[in-house]
Amino acid sequence: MRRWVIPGLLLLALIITGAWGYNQYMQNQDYTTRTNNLYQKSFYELVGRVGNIESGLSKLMVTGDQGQTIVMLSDVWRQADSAGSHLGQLPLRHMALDNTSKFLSQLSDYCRYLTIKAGEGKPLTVDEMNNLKELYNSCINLSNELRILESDVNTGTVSWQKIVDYGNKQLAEGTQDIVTRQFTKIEENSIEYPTLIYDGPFSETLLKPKKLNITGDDIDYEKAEGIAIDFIGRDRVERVGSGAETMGSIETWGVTIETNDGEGPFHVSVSKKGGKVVSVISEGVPKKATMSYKEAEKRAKDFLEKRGYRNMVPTYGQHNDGVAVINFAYKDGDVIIYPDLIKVKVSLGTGNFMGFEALNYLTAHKDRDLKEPKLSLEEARKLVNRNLEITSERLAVIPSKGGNEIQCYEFKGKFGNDNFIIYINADTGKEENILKILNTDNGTMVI
Amino acid sequence: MKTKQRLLVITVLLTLFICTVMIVENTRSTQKAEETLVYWGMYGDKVFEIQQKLKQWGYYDGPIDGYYGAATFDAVKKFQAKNGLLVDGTVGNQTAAAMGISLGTSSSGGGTAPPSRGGSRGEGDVYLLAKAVHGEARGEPYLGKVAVAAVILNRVADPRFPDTIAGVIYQPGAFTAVSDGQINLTPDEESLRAARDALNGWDPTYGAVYYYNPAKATSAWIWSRPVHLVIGRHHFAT
Repeated sequence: MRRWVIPGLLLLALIITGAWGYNQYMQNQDYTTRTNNLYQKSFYELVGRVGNIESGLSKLMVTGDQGQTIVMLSDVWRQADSAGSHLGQLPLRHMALDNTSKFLSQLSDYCRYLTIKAGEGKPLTVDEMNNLKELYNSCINLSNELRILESDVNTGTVSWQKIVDYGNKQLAEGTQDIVTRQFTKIEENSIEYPTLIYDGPFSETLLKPKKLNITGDDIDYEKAEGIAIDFIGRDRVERVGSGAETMGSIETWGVTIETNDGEGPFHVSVSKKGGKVVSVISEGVPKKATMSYKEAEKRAKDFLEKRGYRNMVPTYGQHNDGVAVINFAYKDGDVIIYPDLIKVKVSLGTGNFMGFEALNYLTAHKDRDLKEPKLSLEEARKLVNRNLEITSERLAVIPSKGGNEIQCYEFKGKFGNDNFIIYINADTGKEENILKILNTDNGTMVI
Repeated sequence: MKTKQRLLVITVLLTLFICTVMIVENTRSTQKAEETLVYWGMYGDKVFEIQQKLKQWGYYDGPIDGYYGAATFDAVKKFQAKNGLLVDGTVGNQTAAAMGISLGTSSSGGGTAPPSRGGSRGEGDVYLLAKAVHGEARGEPYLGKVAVAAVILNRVADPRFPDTIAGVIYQPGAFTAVSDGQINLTPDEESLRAARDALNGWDPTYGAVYYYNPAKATSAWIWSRPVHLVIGRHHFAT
């Protein structure tokens, strides 16, 4: 009797383990199917959207009506935007996708720009028509290649799960799956597009890396160290060491400074050319806030003046967890220059300076020859929506989406309980931008 | 001999026990759902809401005072009987659903992760970014954390990548912390600070969109990217 006990128990254990294993297997199958379905959906959406873009662009070639042009352009813009986000959900390595993704982003952005332009009643120029034609040709190629892939996906030869596994194992180059291979082919052969230069965030001119607009001699590390110490304040400095050095389009020396007040260490980045402090980041844990935001703003302005940045005015700012970040813009005579932006971080506990960021200022600042605006303030004011109860007005230079500078009249005002800023082009009278001001517990934000 | 047999029995029993626990856990975890209740004796916003609904539909004619007393109790029972629910005079998830209200977690509205507002960079973005930083760069120096957050934001602005923070972070295969689930850890204070610094415009990399750990990276392609700077174990590149 007793000798059956152990085999019996073992058998039972085997059965239970088997049942458990089967259960796990089924669950695994279930999850795999679900993720596979999501990838499948993204892929089909992508193919569908690219098809829509193709037909939209082809219709654009032949329409003669301004209203239709706007509708079609905005449709292509919307479809390209969506295609891009579906592409981003496919489990492929980035190298296989980056050109396709860039193509869709630029197409979407370019069509958005043209929609806005057409909305102002301006017809498309010959150059713009040619650009669209080239984009259309690239789109046909992309669409064809995707259809080849679609038939593989349809016949079930593509397993997204395998592609994910390939990606995770990072197999040697050459052992690519069919989808990656196809996308790599698209990247290499199919997409040729015009160099799009226009006023939008993905314009080729803006995709070039930023460069510092600083003149002066190259400095060595020792000199950078001295500049960093002076910037933080000699009396606060306790220990100095070298930090992260940056290369590429913006070359800086890194200096790490420990201070005697426990608010560091500070990482100071000093430009190799001209020896300007580009940014300062502090690791210090902020202390409990004891002073008001207004007081911090005053200290930040003092700090900037002592470091040689005069004519800077605070624009807006935020405070969180014991620190305030205050944005300053350069003031050229009576005109606020928003592209010349500097951010200063101040501890609300001690009032000490805790951070600095001047990349925008150092890349954008130059001697501007501001022209007398063609519109007077009164003329511009008439162009503002009557619903806005204007509370202040001034001249300002704002950056456009494509990185150009536009001189505008800035009208701050109220509509109901909401605050807005409206920018009217000082030459053409065009409404360039509307910002909504959010007054939160943590300061003012514009969206 | 005896001890050997006893050992065997114990092993087998142990295996059996573990298997059973596993199965039970498996089935239980799928059913687990927390229930919040509103019952006799409670005060609060939820009671207010319940009274309002019940009064509106004619089940309740007492004062709307936010106190769950006898009158409310009776009204809830009437409502439950009418709607084929379990008549117990307590508002659970099912009764609440039938009334068209949600009980949520608590009336004080705790919770650490605020929802993300579409478009604007609200607190939800800070939290999501901080989670990615915590998962990817835990143990890296502070500057390295800010740099990782900045790389994510630089990708959002780059046409080759998705155009939202969530899109970039959850792009399949883009970040190991997302693939292995480390992104779901609760971010520490330092990660939150780093995320906030990056959202406020600090970028120690001046425009990098890639980073890798040279000890782990096996792709030949990534080595061909120009390196901008090195912080801790990470190389930042464009």
